[in-house]
Amino acid sequence: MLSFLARRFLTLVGTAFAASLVVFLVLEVVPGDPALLQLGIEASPEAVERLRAEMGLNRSAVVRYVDWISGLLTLDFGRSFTYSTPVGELIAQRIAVTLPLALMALVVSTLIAIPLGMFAAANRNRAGDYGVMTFSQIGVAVPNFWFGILLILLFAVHWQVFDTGFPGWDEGLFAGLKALVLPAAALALGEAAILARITRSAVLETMREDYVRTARAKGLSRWQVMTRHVLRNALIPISTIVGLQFALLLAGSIIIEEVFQLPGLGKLLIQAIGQRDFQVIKNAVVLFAVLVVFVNFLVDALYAAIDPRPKQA
Amino acid sequence: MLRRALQHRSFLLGVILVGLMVAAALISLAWTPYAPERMRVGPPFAGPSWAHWLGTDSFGRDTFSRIIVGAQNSIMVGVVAVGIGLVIGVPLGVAAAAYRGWWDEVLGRMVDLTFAFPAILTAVMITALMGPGAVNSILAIGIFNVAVFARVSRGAALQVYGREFPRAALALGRGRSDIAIRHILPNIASALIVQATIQFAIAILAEAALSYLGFGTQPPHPSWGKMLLDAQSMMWIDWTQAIYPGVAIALAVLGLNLLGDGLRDLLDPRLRVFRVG
Repeated sequence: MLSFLARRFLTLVGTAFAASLVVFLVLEVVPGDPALLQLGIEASPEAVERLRAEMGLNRSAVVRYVDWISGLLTLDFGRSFTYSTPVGELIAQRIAVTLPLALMALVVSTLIAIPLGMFAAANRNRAGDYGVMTFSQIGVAVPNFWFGILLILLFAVHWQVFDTGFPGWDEGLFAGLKALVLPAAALALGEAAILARITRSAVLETMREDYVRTARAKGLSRWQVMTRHVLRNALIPISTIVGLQFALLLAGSIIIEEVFQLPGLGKLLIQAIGQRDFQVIKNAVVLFAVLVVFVNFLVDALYAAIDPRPKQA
Repeated sequence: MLRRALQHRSFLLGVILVGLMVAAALISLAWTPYAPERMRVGPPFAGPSWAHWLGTDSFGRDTFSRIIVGAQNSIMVGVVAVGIGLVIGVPLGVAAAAYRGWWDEVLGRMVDLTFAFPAILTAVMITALMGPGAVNSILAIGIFNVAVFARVSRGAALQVYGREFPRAALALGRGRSDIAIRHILPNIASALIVQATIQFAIAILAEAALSYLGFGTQPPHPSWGKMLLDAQSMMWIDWTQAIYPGVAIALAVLGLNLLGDGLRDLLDPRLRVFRVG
């Protein structure tokens, strides 16, 4: 078990480093001159040279990469050229919106999907099952950003019970969480649709097991069998998917934050691209990638902990 | 097979929806009620009428014309992005299954690395580098598809290599590439067809998302994602325009997903479809 986790952790570190190398190569080496790219081709040679010096581009790529990585390891992300503030501060402010958003979406998705999937499995090939499967097909097909627009249309424009935008956590926990309700719902739809389908098949698979039949035969009610035996065992594959979905929700926040004008990490990244602020872009992209890889590692660890079968790398 | 296909209701619905999208795109190549990029062909924010079936947008452009031309855009993105994935990913995946060893290991790590960047993140990074535009967004989605097809074809090919006939062919002195083309590819084709349908749907969603962010197809050429962005900013005046492009995307994706699921049932119900965004 420990050696399995150690191996997975080494893979995590390796992938994270490789990801940082890819980002560095793509954003700093391939384009030739990031300073020129940032200022545009009409910029004067003096201005480009000044920015080159400021960005430290006169040093070799290897030195810059090592510098950047050692900075990252001490949480020093460099300075943003647009905001003239440390990138670390910007990221810390923005992640305080993105992480709660993704977590809330995960909770919403799981709370909707698991009961729906169990209900569908318990009513296999009956109207309820078809209803849930239809919801699942539609949920996967509806783009989350369009669903977000529809939610704004209904709840902010028509009924005016929610506002768009984010008041900030200084306005209180309730105000902050309220502002995240619609975005989290928009983000959750697609994942809930997929999770409901996976829950259904995991539950159906478990229901075919001998111990479930035995439990029924010894007189337990359908509900007791469902909650005590079926759900507990089906939760093993389901929890893996829930974990993996968290990574997708983090990535999905890039577009949902744009729809709802939330000042999160995704919005920061999109703004930085518009402003060609490479210092912010490369750090934000690497942070997203590392979060995704780290979440996948946690899922593996969780799976190893709850699945009693022997482990392989 | 045909009788089974005709009895498969969700497959049929998938065929109809995808057929509608293709028909809309083909018709729009030859004819649209109005030029899709021309402004003031009607009053701004006109509701649906005989003259403008889905009304007009804030510039007085005909929404129906723009929706059917948008279908061309989505199909083009889907075909090219899936094509890139198939042409590059399948040979890589099959070679990994055939040779195993370090080649397989390297490919596996590269696929893992690609998946560390969710599709939208890859797309955003490529756009940051190369600037917005339809071609760059197709490229970004295509790169992601290479990893998906490499992984799917590797898994499927490994199963086929484990059977007896590829070993028999090797014993008979056939070359590795000959075996891969004659024996492996035909046997993994159904897995690839099903996956291609699913990736097509994902490509349409991804392109719409990129266009919505302003990174994909550039104005004035119509794309469903960009139409949604425009409609959202005018939603307080006319909300109906925020409905049609979304319905178009959802129906196209629904159709492709139903088609993919149906094809899987018809070709090989044991296939596992790989879904990753």
